[in-house]
Amino acid sequence: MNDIVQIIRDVVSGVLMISGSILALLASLGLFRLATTRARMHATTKPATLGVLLCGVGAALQMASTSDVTKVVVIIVLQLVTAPIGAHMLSRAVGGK
Amino acid sequence: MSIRSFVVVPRAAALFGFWILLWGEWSAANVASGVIIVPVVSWLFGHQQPARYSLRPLGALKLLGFVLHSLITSSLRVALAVVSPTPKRTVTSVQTVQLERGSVFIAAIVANAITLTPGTMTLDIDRDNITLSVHVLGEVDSQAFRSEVLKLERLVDGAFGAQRKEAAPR
Amino acid sequence: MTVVAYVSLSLLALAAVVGVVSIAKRSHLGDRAVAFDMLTSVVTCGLLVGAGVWQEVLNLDLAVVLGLLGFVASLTIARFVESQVEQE
Repeated sequence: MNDIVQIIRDVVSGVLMISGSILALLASLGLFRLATTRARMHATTKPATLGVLLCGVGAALQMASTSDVTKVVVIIVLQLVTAPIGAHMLSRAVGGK
Repeated sequence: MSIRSFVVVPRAAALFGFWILLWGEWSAANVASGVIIVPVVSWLFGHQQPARYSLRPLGALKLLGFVLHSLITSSLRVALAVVSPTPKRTVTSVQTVQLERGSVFIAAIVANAITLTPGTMTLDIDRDNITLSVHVLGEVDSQAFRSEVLKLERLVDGAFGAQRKEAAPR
Repeated sequence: MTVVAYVSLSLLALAAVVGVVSIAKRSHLGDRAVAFDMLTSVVTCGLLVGAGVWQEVLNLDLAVVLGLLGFVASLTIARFVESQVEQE
């Protein structure tokens, strides 16, 4: 029984981490393909934040102790809160379309 | 206690609970260090912050679900615009929306949440009129966009809004 | 589990290469700042994957510090770009 739970946990973690990495790759490609600076900030805030969220949940499932899971929650909340604020300040500084 | 009323959590309790969670166990040393550190941190950094956190749990859950759902949708939309960039998907525009609740606190949370919803990114908040300037990627209809933002504001108000007289029980 | 690690870390390495090339190729400082922000997100993802697969708990502390410092760096660059634009 314990074995099956372990396998399910590993599979779910693996799927989450791989999809998080795919999203991070898409975000990086978005830096290249989108035309203006502000459009590139769209790519920085949305897929990158979701990628960190998915990788974080995948890592949290594998962690053994409560303190590690809390640290992952701190990382995710930090990314979720700081990405929009950073994009806002940079877009105000840069201007343009 | 009806489920629509506030849950009020004192800031010190929230900080203490977070400290214990970070250490991971209820040992004597953790509790003792928490009791010392929490007042020190509150005194050092917490002068102008509110001493109590209040939110409505059901509204907060609904907001969280909506933000997660729109995060997924928006990432897929950006991915689509990256992989096959048609002019309709990559045209940019700046839209303005005036919010209705008149609170700058709610406007700040809505501004942050808008950046996570499909195709939109907050540029500026006008504090006097509570107006948001939003940069939109992709084709958008102004009226549909306004109603989306106002719906988001309703959700945020449902989670964090100021105390109102509750409606009479039916 | 190590298969997952190899696949996701190679994807993230590719993303990081694209980010670094973007920093080198763009001419405007604001574009470089956006690419830098993306790089911090990619490295955070990499640290989280490493922590999950190899139970490397140190990575989590590193990721927290990276998130904080990367945020402060983004804001500092934004202020600097703003002051540069004002000077012109």
